[in-house]
Amino acid sequence: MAAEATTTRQIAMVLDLNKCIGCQTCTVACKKLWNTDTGSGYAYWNNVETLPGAGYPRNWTGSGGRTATGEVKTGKVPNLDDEYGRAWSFNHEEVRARSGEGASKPWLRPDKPPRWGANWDEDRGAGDYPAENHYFYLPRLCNHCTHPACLDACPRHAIEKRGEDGIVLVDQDRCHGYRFCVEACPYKKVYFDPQRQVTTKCIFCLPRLEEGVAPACARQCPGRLRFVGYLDDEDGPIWKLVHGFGVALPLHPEFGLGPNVYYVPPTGPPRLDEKGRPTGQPRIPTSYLVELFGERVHEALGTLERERAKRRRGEASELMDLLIAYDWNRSFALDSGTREVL
Amino acid sequence: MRGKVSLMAAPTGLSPGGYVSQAYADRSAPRTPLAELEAEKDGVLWRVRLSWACADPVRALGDEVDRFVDAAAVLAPIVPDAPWMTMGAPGKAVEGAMWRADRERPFGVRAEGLGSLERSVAPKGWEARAEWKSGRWQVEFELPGWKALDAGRQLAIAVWQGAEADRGGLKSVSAGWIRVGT
Amino acid sequence: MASPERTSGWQLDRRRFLKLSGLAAAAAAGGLPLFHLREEAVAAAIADGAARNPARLGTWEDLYRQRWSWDRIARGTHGWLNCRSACNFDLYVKDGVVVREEQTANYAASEPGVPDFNPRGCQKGACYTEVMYGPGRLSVPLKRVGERGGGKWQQIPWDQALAEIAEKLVAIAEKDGTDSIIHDLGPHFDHGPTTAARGRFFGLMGATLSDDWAEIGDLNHGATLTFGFPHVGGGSDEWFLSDYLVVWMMNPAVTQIPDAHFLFEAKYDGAELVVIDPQYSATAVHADQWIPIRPGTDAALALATARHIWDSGAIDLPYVREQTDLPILVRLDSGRFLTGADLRDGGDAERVFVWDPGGGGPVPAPGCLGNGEQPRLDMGTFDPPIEGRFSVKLADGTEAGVVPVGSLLREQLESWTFERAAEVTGLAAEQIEQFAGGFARAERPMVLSSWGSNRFFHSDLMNRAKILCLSLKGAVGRKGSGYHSTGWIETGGIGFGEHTGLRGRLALFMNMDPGMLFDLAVQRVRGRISAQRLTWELAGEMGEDLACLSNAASLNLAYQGIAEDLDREQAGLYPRPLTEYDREAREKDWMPVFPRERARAWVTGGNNVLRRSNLPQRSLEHMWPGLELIVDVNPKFTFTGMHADYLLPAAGYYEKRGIKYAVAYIPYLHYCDAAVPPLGESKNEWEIFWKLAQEVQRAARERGTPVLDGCGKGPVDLKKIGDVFSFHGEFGPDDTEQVTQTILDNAETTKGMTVRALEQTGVEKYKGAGGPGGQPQLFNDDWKGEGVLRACTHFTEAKWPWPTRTGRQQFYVDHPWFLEAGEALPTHIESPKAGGDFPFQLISCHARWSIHSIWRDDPMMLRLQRGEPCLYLNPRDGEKVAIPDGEWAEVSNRVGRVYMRVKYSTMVRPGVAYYFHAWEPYQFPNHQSYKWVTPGLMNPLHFAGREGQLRWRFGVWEPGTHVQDTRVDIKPGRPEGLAPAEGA
Repeated sequence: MAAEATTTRQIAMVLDLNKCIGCQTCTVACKKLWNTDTGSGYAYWNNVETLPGAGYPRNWTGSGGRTATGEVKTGKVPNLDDEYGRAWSFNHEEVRARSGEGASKPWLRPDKPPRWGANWDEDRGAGDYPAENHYFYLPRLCNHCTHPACLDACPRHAIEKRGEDGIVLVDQDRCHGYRFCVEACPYKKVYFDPQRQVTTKCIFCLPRLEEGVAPACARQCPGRLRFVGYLDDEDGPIWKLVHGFGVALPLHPEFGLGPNVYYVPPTGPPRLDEKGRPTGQPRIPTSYLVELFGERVHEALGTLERERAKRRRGEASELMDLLIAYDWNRSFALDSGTREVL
Repeated sequence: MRGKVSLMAAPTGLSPGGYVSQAYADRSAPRTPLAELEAEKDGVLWRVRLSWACADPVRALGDEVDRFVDAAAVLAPIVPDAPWMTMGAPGKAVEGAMWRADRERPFGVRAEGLGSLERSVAPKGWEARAEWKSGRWQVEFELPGWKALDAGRQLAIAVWQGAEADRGGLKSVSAGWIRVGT
Repeated sequence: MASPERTSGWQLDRRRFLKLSGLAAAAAAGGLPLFHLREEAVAAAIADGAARNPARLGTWEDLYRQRWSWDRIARGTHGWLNCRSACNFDLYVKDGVVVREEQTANYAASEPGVPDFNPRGCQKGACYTEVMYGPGRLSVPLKRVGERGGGKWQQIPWDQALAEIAEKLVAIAEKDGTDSIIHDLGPHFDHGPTTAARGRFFGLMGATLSDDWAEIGDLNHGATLTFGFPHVGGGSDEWFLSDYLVVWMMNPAVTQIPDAHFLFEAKYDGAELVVIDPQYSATAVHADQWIPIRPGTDAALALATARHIWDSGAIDLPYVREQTDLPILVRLDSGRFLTGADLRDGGDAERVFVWDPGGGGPVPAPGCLGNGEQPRLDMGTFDPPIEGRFSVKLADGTEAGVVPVGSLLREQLESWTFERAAEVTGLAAEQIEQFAGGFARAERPMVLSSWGSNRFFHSDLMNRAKILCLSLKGAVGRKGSGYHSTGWIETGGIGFGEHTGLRGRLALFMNMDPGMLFDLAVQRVRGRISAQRLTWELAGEMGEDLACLSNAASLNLAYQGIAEDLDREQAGLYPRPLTEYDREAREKDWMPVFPRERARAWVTGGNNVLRRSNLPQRSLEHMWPGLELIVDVNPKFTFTGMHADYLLPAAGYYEKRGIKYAVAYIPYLHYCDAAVPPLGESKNEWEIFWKLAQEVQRAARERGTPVLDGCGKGPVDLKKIGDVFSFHGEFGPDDTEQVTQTILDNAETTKGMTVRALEQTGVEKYKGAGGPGGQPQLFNDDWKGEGVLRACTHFTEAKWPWPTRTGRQQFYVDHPWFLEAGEALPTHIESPKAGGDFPFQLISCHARWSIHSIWRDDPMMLRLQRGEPCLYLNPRDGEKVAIPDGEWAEVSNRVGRVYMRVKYSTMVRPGVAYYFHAWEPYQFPNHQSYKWVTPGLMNPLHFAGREGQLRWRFGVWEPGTHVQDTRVDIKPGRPEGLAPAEGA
């Protein structure tokens, strides 16, 4: 694809799932900055889902992307009520005006009985309590893929992968709202705005990046789990975590799109046996993590454990120092502002 | 002229990019197999009436994201040999009007090949009136001063069934240019 | 639809709100530096004029650039919010509207080798603008029309509202006494002009202040019993320094979002993270050990752990001898401490003893309450035994057997084997052993215990036992270890007011001026008395002698109509009925109760008492009808407001100056600027109460109101209240900057800070932790803003005594009530079944999605939940009770019946039903929340007073309510008023 040939640098993000607390500050930071208009009420360029779970949109995996042999898989545009979750309206005024009217008094609730939402299965998880119940949080945003399925899907060439930083953008002028990109993206990270009748997606906070400021989801993350920088910057945190230590892995590498958002896989307390005794076995089945992050997850988890053991013994570990993020500002290795401020 | 026009599914294999051509490779049956077309000239005014069966009209998106609206377009070549199936070609534009069920006025449209369609505010006086009745859409375009049609006297039509997720290249089209008489 | 006579502000749509706000906005740009821009060059490029408004709209990308633009940036925080975090935010102002907010993130690391605090914040703080301009906002004064609670309101002018309220207040004060007027704190209090104004006004009025610290379940009675104070701990970055972090009855990943990262970073640094919680919480998912304990059995786990620490030789003997009561002698015949009065006629009953093995007799314990000669804890050269049995000769010539507390404690622990603890807690003995082993081996064990750890009937026992584990390890007061139950940094107040009368002092509540405390100390000290005695006497001077302070639990028991409920629910749990303990405490003047005779007015400032108190149906039935005036001063339209007479719109968080209350987790003062003028007709509380004081003065003069006797503690002259409130004209209604500056000037911790500088930076590190004397304190005399802030070095390093009866961390409480109840030592007692013997324990959790009821009804937040309150059940229980996920449950017990939608979660322990709190009752069918089924037990021992640390003080020792013991039945059941089509 032409886009690949012209991408000279790739911006990337690493998210350490061992620090994610599911607080959704990233979700709200992104929402408040970019998606407060009517047509984007349901849209969360950044969302956090509880895994195992159906996520947002519901059961998003399996729609779009490619097969292991490179065949295109037909996707679908998710439904608002059943898959994304509608941006419900509420009856504040009605409730207050009729607070005294006995048993029939209306209570505050969504205008339509909700069927799904962006965080519907928050904290649900899987497994029997207390031996093996487990869950963790997975923040998701556009992966700004090296081989973007959305770009490949647009017959109008309205989607661009920028040469200077690899950000994938939907040209809001060219887009005619056909939504093939929505279908094709296996991460379901392109959204259709029914008011403006165009699709939108994460812009990696382009205007901020132009001034050397990290994206809102990353900079506003109180869990300090996000790192932002260029994939080829060997002094930056991204290269070290992705290539240096190999502990940051792409989500669903089998989709074959080359995601540029990477995750440090989660660990948790051990499983208990049937008598409630701690076992040495991971509570989150490693096979499940392999489904998400591929086979390399074994190696990444091993590296994390080895490096942590060093620290327990009082030895140095550059990896642990990096993940601790002593100096938070260094989590973001960006160019200084390049764009003249208007 | 006035007559029935058999429509075919626009060939998805031609669609730019890797997705549509593969994902919709099997979409060979037209969602709208037949349309009635009537085109007449009244002074400078071209009146084009288009009608097709539509069991489940989609008039607007509402707040929905997985809904597609019904639409239709009439196009004419700017140069006589502009290809139709590819929506023209570089240097060989096609142009015309597009009606969409959720809009009061039609778009003016122009293309020089697949994926190059540009929508614009339709020329002054261009109108499209539509009515859905007894399971059919009837759309009447009034296109005064449409020079391309004046010159070439041929047009092509495209119909999108919203309920069938028609949009973009997923459409039913006339197999070629249709002459509209002298 | 709205009834015609209502013309209230919340009918205005959002556009109108914004327009109103925009019209009134000052356009001046501030020229603020942009801390969030890391590159100097960029900051310099933008700093000139501060505005960032891309003018060009050449491309579609510019549309996005336009969204990230502003006219000016103000610094702010959510200063009136009852949130234990404080986070500096940039407020982006555009066209007179705060369009969004983003963390400033300008904190430093406390010391090398410790992560910094950046960026702090949470999803709620990141969208306060949604609440500010949202559908729950109150923006014009409203007066009730028709029935109370009838939902009909009339917009009235401020002048009319204040005049009518003032006249009613004066009439009520004349007729029923000033203490028949109740005001309360709660959400919407800060350490700035808002709380100063409210406290000053009601203090001058002689009104009752209902102290609900314990009543809301936040008071750590266990810590007060042990340490003499409940709020322990320094900065959250101290967590990072521990090597064995035990999160025990806390869920920082949900309730302490900006601080939680230190836990997980400590793990990376080699620490072991243990989470003890029946819930597989958002914190537990990141733990090395998750201990799924049966609810309410934490004391058993702690006792087994303490036993193991002792048995395995991990006990820190020098520390325990010096810092705890383990060597203090107890009489075997009475169970009481051996005192000076036992040994000698006329001896000091406050003097307690340790055994001197060399001399073979009892010697006064250094630092104890009755030992002014040895004011510090140093033992000197001898090591008093913590075990043994001795005989002493009493004043009457008889012999008495005495033992050190340690002996009693060791005996108490004897039965708490891992196996017994396993039986009680439902855990495997092996897991307990693993936990206890790690605790015993740790160098710096630390226990995090939230305010929420106090909501079981027997929470005090649990916390005493948890602290015991730490104290045996010598961990409390040592860097990187110890007990974190949320400390406070002392801040200033606005001074005395009227020196001639006593009433002015009440206004200093939570805003005490340390200089004033020093004066009091000088007046008080006659010769050498122990530090803790001085502290108590000062507290007495402030609270008991001057203030019309009432603990809310006693107030509720007297007026809410719940006494019968609680006597029934608590029958048989203690030797006498609850009301008997209450009666005795009142007779002995242990617990002050105001109003003395009747409650006539309730003026609330966001406390939302009908939302948060237990059994609100009793309040509505018994108390509300007797109230002649109910006023809610609030930016939010609350459930309590729905049942009020007047609603006065307070300015929102970004619309007035303030100082965020000073919790020690983040040792920076957080200033909130007025980024935009108050929305609509709302006003800041300083102006509201300033004007109300003038109106009360006018009304009193017109009526010729005589000087009233206040609440029996001094004269109240309402004819002067306006003059006194304003310090005789020194502060005008618009002078919040001067008031704020005065508050900053009045405390050592904030001296030198200026409002002008804070407008630029938003935060400034405290210059100290506060001195002894003030209630909020960390007992760290040495911290001056450098290094990780930690607590309790005052005792462990400077060797000053703990403010307890023995001057030490006290595990033995010899109060007769405690002896009688068998709670002299930490023990385990089963959670009583409040509400009846039903299969589910209903447990309240603080929410990720709200700070109390703020954000609870905000659409942006609700869309990220399920839009309605949920009852969390384990899926297996859900199947058992045949209620699918998302369907309705009828939740009932013998006090009530409510309806909630069920949500399945595998984090829930079978047999437990969780709710995440602070939903407004109007978010439930029939406007009845889980509070309608929550009796809220009161532990009668907490009514004890006037003995050592068992001494009523604001937010330190007082009875409270406990909600976690509630039991309910859960059945399928749909509320009335549900359309048939609404299946799920």
